[in-house]
Amino acid sequence: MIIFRYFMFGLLGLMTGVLQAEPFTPELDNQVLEQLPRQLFQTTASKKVKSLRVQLKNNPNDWSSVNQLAHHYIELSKTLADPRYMGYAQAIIDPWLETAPYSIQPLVLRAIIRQNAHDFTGAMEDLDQVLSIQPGHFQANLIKATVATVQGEYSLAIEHCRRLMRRSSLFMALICQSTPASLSGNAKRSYQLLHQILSSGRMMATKESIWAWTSLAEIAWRLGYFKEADQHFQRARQVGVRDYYWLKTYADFLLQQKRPLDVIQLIAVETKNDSLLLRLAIAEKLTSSRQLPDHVTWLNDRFQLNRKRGSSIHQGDEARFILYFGNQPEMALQLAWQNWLIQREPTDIYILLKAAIAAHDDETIKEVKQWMAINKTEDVVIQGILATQAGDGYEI
Amino acid sequence: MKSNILLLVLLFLSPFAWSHKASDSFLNLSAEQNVISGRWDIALRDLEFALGLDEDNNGAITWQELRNQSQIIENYAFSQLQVKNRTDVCTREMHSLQVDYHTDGAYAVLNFDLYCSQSIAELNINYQLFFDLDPTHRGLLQIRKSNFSEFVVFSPDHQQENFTLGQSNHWQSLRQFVAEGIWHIWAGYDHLLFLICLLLPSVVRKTSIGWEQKDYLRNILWQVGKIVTAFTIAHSITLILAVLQLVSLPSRLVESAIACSVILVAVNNLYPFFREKAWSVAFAFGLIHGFGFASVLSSMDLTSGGLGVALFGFNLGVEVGQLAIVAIILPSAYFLRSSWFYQRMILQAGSLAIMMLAVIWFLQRALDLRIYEA
Repeated sequence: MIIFRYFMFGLLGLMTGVLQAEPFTPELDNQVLEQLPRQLFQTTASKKVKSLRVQLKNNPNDWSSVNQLAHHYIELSKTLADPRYMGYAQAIIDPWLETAPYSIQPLVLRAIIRQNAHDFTGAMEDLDQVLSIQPGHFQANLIKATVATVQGEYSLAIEHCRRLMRRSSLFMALICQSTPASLSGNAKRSYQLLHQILSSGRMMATKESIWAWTSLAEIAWRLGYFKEADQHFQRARQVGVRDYYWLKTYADFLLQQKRPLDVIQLIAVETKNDSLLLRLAIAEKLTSSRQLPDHVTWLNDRFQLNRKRGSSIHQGDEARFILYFGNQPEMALQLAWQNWLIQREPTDIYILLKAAIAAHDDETIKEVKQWMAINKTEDVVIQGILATQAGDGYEI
Repeated sequence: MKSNILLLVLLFLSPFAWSHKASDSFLNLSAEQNVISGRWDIALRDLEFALGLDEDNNGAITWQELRNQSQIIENYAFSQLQVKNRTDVCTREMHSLQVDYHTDGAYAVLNFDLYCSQSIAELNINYQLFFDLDPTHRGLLQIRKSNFSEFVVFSPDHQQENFTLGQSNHWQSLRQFVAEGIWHIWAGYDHLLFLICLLLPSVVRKTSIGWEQKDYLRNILWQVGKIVTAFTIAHSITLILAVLQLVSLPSRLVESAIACSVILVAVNNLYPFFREKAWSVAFAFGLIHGFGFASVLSSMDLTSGGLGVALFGFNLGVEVGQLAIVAIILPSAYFLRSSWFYQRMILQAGSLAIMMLAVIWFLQRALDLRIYEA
């Protein structure tokens, strides 16, 4: 029956967009059709956004309004995990770069936007532009280090992290460096160093703190220090802000630790978020939840839609979805490869390897192993995946 | 500002695939002659950002708030969408504003028609909705005209698209309807058995002592020709009447009557009472069978190539199917007609079996019983 359902959702997926639900005319005037997130109407920031939009309308050439508004949008897109707000920011920044292509602040903002659209090449171009004008530019170096880490260019990342030291921020430089260093043969040292820094009790801003503790937890996880990893994840949680990157990473950790019930408890409400919905669905499959068929159908619809609109930023997740729910290893492998060409974070390695194992593609496995040997990758999750060779057992 | 940017950088140190669905609108257009009927789904979240729907600023967008803005939404949306047939801008008539839920929330549904001055042939569609506010927005268009269907994604870099819809291919749709006709006569057991029952006794005649073979092939062919022609003319008449919606009968009545017709012709093979009047029986029941064909045809898309093509093609297909049955049954019946096997086993036992099956159909259809799912 379950298999039949999956088959059917495949068929249904083909018709997505063709078949739509029936529209309706609400019966009651006061029927609530859409509830906006609190951040959009209740907060001081939301009022500020409204007034800034009016200001900008009256005076389109005021960089200060553009700059402030762009910051608000980018922040909203993060807190709501809603890409629309990145688009809104882009819409007001683009005209500035058309008239003044070398202005540093707009370039940095555009790099952030491009990075988040997974346009890493475009982001790097903007950052190089900024760094050619101001080689020591703090933000540009930090973002460049991040993008390089995501792309698996660890020595480039470390180089740009070190440039931060010259700007008197040893602390930031060390946090920045810990992830790329841990992924290129210095996992234990990075862990100890970062742990030491974070345990020193130095005050950190909210987001800084979440970022640092999550990074530490990830390094601990890859080293196989599961108990410590969980503790570090909890420290990040205690900061008290619901952070989507943290949610996604911790959900993966819990899945790998075979704690699907904890995953469901953690993200049961996050069904509008594709990445989290995928992790929720995996947990639901492991616990044979009744919600599963609905969630699988939704995911299928959304991946289909993303493909239709030509968006490729979900390929890693889609590969995982297809491997796990669609049972089509070849297709998953193809997507995992396309994803691998764009980004090379540990989760991207996991899915590529799992798909390659499932599709019996020894060539890919060999290539990934070579890549890991060159980079001296240390990761118990990868070891686990390679050890099982069946591609199962690890739900990540 | 520096610390502000630093915060932003920190926000994104670990890139996170946008998980929330991005902004899309869904535009469905289907063209027929000079009218395009359309449905446009636009996310309330997007309309809220562009126009401000939440009047009382309480974060809840109600049906009333949406409806209050319906004129503004309509004007805004259609100022960003231009549909031209050749050089002629098609005018819009808004029908209703409704609501639908997609996986990411509520959408306003704009139901409308576009009237073009000439029959739709070459469409030029220019889509700009929200591109000035959100370059990541996409317009997903599905456009249809009879056999033509195309899917297009509009983006800031791709705001225009031309479609050559042209005239639909009559030959292609004719072939499609012919095939449907053939298929229907073969797959619809009741029509098939009705014809077989009518044909079986045409090679023999009942006398006081039993069955005897007919001798003249010419007479047999003449008899068969009359039966088939009468059946054809009759079902064509009712098929046309029904498809043009001049006459309509409840399908339960039609289906029961068709079953009844099979019973009667089968009984006639056991205790002949039509005699030489078989062709008029074929005509009378042909009228009923025509309504049965019509119910099949009306479930198909008749717009492709027009109604004439559909009726002609379907009828032609039914004829071809019938002739194929005649071509299979008649020669074997002719050669076997003098045998005991034909007269007893095929004609009598066969008709009896058919009659029993038809009785089951009749009970099932008339009384809505579920005895055997045909």
